[in-house]
Amino acid sequence: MQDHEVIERVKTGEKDLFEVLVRRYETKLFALAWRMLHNRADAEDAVEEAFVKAYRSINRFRGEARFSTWLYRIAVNHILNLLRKGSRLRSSDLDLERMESPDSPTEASRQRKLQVAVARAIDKLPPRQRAIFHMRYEEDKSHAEIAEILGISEGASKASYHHAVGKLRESLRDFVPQRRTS
Amino acid sequence: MSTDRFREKLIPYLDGDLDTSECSELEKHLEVCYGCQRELEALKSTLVLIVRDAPPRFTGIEWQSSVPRRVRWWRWVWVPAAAAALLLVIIFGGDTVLRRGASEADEWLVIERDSLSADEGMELAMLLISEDEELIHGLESYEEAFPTDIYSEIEELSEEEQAALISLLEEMSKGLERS
Repeated sequence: MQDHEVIERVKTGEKDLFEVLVRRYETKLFALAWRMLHNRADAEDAVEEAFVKAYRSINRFRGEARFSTWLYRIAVNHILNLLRKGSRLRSSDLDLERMESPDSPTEASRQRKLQVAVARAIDKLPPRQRAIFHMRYEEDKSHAEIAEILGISEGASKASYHHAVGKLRESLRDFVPQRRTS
Repeated sequence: MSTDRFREKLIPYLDGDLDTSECSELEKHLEVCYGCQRELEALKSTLVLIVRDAPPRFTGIEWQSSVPRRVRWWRWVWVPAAAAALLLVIIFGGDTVLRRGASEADEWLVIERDSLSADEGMELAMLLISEDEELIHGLESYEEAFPTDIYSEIEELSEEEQAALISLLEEMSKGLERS
């Protein structure tokens, strides 16, 4: 069943059908929330709250944008609000340096160090840029759709994404092998 | 074109954001510039590293139980509640304290204005209390931006506090309708 069919049926009283949309999009929204919040519990809460907001507002969804675009807009704005408020958020799951064991540089600890470095590099990006990076690189959304989700211009989406990639390149310079090019 | 100018185009190139002639020009340069070749490879390698920070396993949200819990008490009152609460914020500015009870110590809710300018708030308030379809449609550009701040405060109240708040806001919204 297409999104718009589900929505029409939800609007006409089949409220339980909204769960179809939840199951269809929750994993993607969780990945977005995780990328922006870097805390599993916060990300799960944010996804749930975003769906509640969408459910509550479903009668005002008129189908002028795709449902996924509308849903992402709700989720991104909700997460940006959470980050702005800050007080409800738990600490990042990435603060795990103590779990590393520098005296035993095993492959596992090297991998863990790399993961923490990547996560911190992403966390250094401003929240909106993190969202743009995730949607463009990890979800392969077009800049046009990202622009629609965030209410910005396509050019602004591109510029923000390009800045994000440049900053990640700088932050992760020590982890990128120098290759010889013949 | 200088090497620096070509280097600036490497990220747009990877993003598929160069037109045909720019692409062709850059690719010709890459054939002869080892520095730009290495930088292009480094950019690709950087992006590949992102998978190292994959999200944890996600088992899904508990939708059936969460909707009634979160939506139940305010879905029928949320427009007047939001309008009234927002108008209070606008009227009093900054920190707004809603009081109910015999003494001033009975504070039910503190709402901090932290995300909207007064002009934005007033515009949203007008949308929220309006029955004009066009105006309500315009609300879509604000609806995710504003209510979170109010609702995240409200959701943390006890049931008793929520009931008292709803009652107070209903009285206020009736007052708004009459005025």
